Amino acid sequence: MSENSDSELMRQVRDGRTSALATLFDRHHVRLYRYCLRMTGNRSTSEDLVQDVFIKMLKHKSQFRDDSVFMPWMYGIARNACAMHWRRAALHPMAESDLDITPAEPYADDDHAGAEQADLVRRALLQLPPDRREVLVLNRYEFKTYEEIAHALGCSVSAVKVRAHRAMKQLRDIYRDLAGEVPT
Amino acid sequence: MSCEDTTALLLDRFKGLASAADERRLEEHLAGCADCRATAESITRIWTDLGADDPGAPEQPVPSERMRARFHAALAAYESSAARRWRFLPERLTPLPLAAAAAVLLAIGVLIGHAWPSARDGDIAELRADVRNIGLALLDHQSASERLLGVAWAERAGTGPQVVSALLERVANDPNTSVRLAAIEALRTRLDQPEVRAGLTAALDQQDAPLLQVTLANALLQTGDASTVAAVRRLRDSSGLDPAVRDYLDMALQSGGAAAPPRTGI
Repeated sequence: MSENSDSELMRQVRDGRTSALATLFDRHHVRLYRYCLRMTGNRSTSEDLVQDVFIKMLKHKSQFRDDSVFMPWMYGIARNACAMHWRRAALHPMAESDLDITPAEPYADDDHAGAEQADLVRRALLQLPPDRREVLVLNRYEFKTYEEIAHALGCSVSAVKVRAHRAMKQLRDIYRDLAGEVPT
Repeated sequence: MSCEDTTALLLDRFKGLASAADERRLEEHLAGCADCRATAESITRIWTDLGADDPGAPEQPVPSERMRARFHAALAAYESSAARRWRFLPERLTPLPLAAAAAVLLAIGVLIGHAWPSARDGDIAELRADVRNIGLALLDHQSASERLLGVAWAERAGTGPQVVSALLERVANDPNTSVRLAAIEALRTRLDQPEVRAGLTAALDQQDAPLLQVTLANALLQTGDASTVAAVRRLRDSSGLDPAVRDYLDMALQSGGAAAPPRTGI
């Protein structure tokens, strides 16, 4: 299904056919859930955030203009929902044990060393400041091109590139600290 | 290329966005820079690990059914509350109708505000009446300085009959010369009113002080009115008048208006 048809569905929602949002939910809730999970590291929080995002789409549907494009608009709402979550989390911080960053199934022995390393990277990712984590998540998992990321973040392509490489360097430093590596 | 570009070019490479020229530059730089080789190795490992066992990876379960049930419940609740909303309101208000509606409401508000005397208007009227009473009371005060304050207020208070009457009373009967002078000056701007002219003319005969006689005569001659000129002539012809005042009034009457003040001993 093309991006235009998503936008067309959202315009229908805006103009009163709210049932069209069900189609958009079916198309995008998995992607949004994964984005939120990568950003927050917690499954139930991510479920709540997906719900928040679609409720906000309904509440703010009039802000979807004729020339708006659905995907960046949706990610904009998701980013705000995550930011709100972090503001609440700053007041009530989650324990490390609340993070669901390990796979649902236990590791096989052979995979254990690699899985531990991946686990460490994911913990490092969750320690990045949210704006840097966001640009890395969008870069690594969500979008193929910088243009798409720039559209979703509402900034220039060069700004995305700068933010992405700074985020990657900071992630490497955090990873080294967690792994007890000595910087080269 | 510099070492600063290594991470950015590596990210381009990971995403398959690096051009052949970028790849060549990167390889040449890595071949000659041990630090960047180490950086490239660690960053490549981290990038790979980010993709491994990714909690958001397609093979990881997503609680779609539960999320879908929650979403449909929320959507049904929203639609049911929207159905209860006032139906005459359009779903999406555009700026022009909104601005028109706001202008109409504003106009209605202004009309009602003008047509409907508010409690505040009543309060203001009451306050004004209080101030007038205080001003008039000052004009009748025992202390000359308070009466001077009353005259100053009366000068600003407008042309109400009560105010004019109180000022004329001061001109005619105030025991203090300064208060009389101030009252004459206050009434000078109201000489177009017949009652002011008549009151000042009547008061002319009651003035004994040369300064008051001259000031009042000057004010009356200013009007050019026949009856006031006649009153000034009567004063000039009256017995016991200060000779300097008489000389001054002669001069003023000849010139048909006010003249320079006389040199009296006052």
